[in-house]
Amino acid sequence: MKNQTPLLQIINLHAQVANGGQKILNGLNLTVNAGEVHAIMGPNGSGKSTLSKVLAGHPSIEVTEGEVLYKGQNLLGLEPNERATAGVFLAFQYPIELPGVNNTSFLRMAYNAKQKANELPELDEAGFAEFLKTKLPLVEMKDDYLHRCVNAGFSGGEKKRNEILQMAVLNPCLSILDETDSGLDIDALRIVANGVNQLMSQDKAILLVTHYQRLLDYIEPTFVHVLAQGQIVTSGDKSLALELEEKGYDWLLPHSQQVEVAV
Amino acid sequence: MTMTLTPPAPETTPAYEPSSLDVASLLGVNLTTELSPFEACLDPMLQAIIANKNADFSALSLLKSHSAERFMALGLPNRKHQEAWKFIDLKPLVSKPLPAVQSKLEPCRLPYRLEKALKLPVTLTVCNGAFPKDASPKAAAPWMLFSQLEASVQTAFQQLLTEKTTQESDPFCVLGQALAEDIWTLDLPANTTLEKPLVVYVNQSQTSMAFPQWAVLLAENASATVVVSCSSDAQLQAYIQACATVELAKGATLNWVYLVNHTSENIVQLLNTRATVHEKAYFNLFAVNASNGALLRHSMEVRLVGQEANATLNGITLATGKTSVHNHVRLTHDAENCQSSQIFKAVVGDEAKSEFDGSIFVTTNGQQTDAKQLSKNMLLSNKAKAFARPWLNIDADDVKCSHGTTVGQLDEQQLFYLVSRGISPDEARDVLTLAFVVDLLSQLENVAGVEALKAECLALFQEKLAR
Ligand SMILES: Nc1ncnc2c1ncn2[C@@H]1O[C@H](COP(=O)(O)OP(=O)(O)OP(=O)(O)O)[C@@H](O)[C@H]1O
Ligand SMILES: [Mg+2]
Repeated sequence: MKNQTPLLQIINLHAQVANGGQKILNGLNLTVNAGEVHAIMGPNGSGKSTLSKVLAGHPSIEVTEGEVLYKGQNLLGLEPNERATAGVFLAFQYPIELPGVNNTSFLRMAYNAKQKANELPELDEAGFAEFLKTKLPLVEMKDDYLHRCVNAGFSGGEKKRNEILQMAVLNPCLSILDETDSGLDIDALRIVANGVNQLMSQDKAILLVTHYQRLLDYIEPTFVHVLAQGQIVTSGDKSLALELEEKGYDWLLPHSQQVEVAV
Repeated sequence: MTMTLTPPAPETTPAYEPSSLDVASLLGVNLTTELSPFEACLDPMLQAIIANKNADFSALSLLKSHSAERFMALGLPNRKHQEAWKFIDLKPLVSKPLPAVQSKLEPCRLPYRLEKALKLPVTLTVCNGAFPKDASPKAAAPWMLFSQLEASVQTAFQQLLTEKTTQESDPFCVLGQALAEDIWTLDLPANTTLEKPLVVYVNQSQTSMAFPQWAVLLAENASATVVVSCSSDAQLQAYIQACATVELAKGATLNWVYLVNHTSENIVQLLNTRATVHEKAYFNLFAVNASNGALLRHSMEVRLVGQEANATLNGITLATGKTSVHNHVRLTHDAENCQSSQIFKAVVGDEAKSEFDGSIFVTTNGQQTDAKQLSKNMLLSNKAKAFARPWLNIDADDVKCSHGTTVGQLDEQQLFYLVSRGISPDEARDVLTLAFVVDLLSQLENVAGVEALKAECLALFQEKLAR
């Protein structure tokens, strides 16, 4: 291993819905090194999105115990915008619509916020338009979407593509993709996966939350983990995903505490 | 929500109670110490105006004395008894000693951004309520765009304004007309289209009262855009009473844009817009207020009196500090097949207050009315207040009227989405606040000078948010 410090280290993480709500994460441990792709699978309601939100700093979840280190630093001590400018990116399972906010301006604001925080030059409108042009092909997105308001009236698949466009613009070190594949048609899945692969490099890592083996055909995971009842209950290589596809999750869960899967 | 209703008929003609302003004392009979400084200041002025009627029978003097008499008959509004004034605190106006009108022209804070950066030339500059004396400003057309009522006896205007004054129920509106030095008129002949907007820059640079007045007559199929931009220098105290009286003949179109942006917190501005819209004519009012002033009330009364007449009234209010902003609409459908749409959006922060009071009246003549009204408010602090009071008064049976009101706060999920992309929480709040109001700017789409206007609105909002 070239780099001694893992990119992300989650140690005994406990989290609950803010203001004393339901407990969701129960002592979760995970280590992610640069250059790795970790797939996270697991039944509905097991806490995958909650984990993603904790990493991004969503105020609806509060951490009650444990530690998260990003490049060896305390991630939980950073404000959500500081995490983003430090290179953490969450592609939302349900991207938010921002009516009245132009997509291009939004992307430029985000880009410039990161540049500024890292003491790098910001781009003016013209410069950013040029820069953005180079990113569009990654997700094969028509520039119509740039003139529209952020996600407003976008189809489910278009929203997901727009998330990856944001990832392309921000060029994050650690990307958490929460079910980016769901809602994408077969062609779009291939396109978006290719985009993600192009954005990946040896100094970056991806947490890939998914329900489907199909995505893992395109984005090859270094590890596959199963998250159930707020913990990682088993980990393996990509063959684990195939096994799950065949057998479901039942066999991994202690029988007494089977999770009811709401559809 | 779309619905057809026959509502209870509340206060179509508000009854005027005896007010705190005693007519006898106004006439100088009983000048007691109980008069507010405001009233004490007005009293000799109004008397002089009425006395002047007999000395000088000019159109303007007659109109002014008529207005002065009307004001005395109406008296100052009574908050207890008059619904329209219930939420309005007139203390900043009537309790502080107000300086008398100063007619001396002072240099304005020019060049103005609309002109300088946005290349929208100012047609007319009004300094401290006084119009330039050298008559015609840079007229872009052979006829006089704005002329003084005094300059030529314009009987059409005098008749129109006298008639309106008799019907006027807002005391401040007639007070403004009584005390105005002049009334500026725009008289556009039939089938004339002004390609460029007329920009009227109203600047207050001294502590005084100011009474800018406009009267606009558009003949058949004439069309024009007027932008009235009001601003003031920091800190000064002023009472600005402005009125626009509009008469649109068949097929005429008037876009009237107000951009109010006072930096001083001691400004009381009472605006009146009175429009009569005839057959197939279109009145499009767009009022933007990003003022810091103590009190702004904009009273809009629009009457659709010819078939297929149309009115759009839109307002954007950004109120912060201790500002109190009131948009009062009385829109009457008095002919068949008329359309109206009102959208008023307010962002209210700090300890500011915003009120929308909108009535739609549909008379028995108003069959096939299509009237929409929407008031959307966003509160940025827990001390901010927004009131919305929509009224429908419908006397026709075949009408489509909808109204709605929302009061909300910034959406937490949207805020998080922005900050999760690295944008700071403060910037994220500003972005969402702007987003809430900017979609209304699309209503300016067909208005001359739209790009400059949009840019100016955005600049005003951004300045306001940065304060
Ligand atoms: N803000 C909240 N308030 C109440 N309950 C919550 C909240 N957020 C999450 N939960 C609950 O926590 C549990 C875990 O939710 P989470 O979204 O993390 O599941 P998930 O693993 O992402 O599921 P899916 O596969 O369906 O996306 C669920 O039971 C959910 O209802
Ligand atoms: Mg989820």
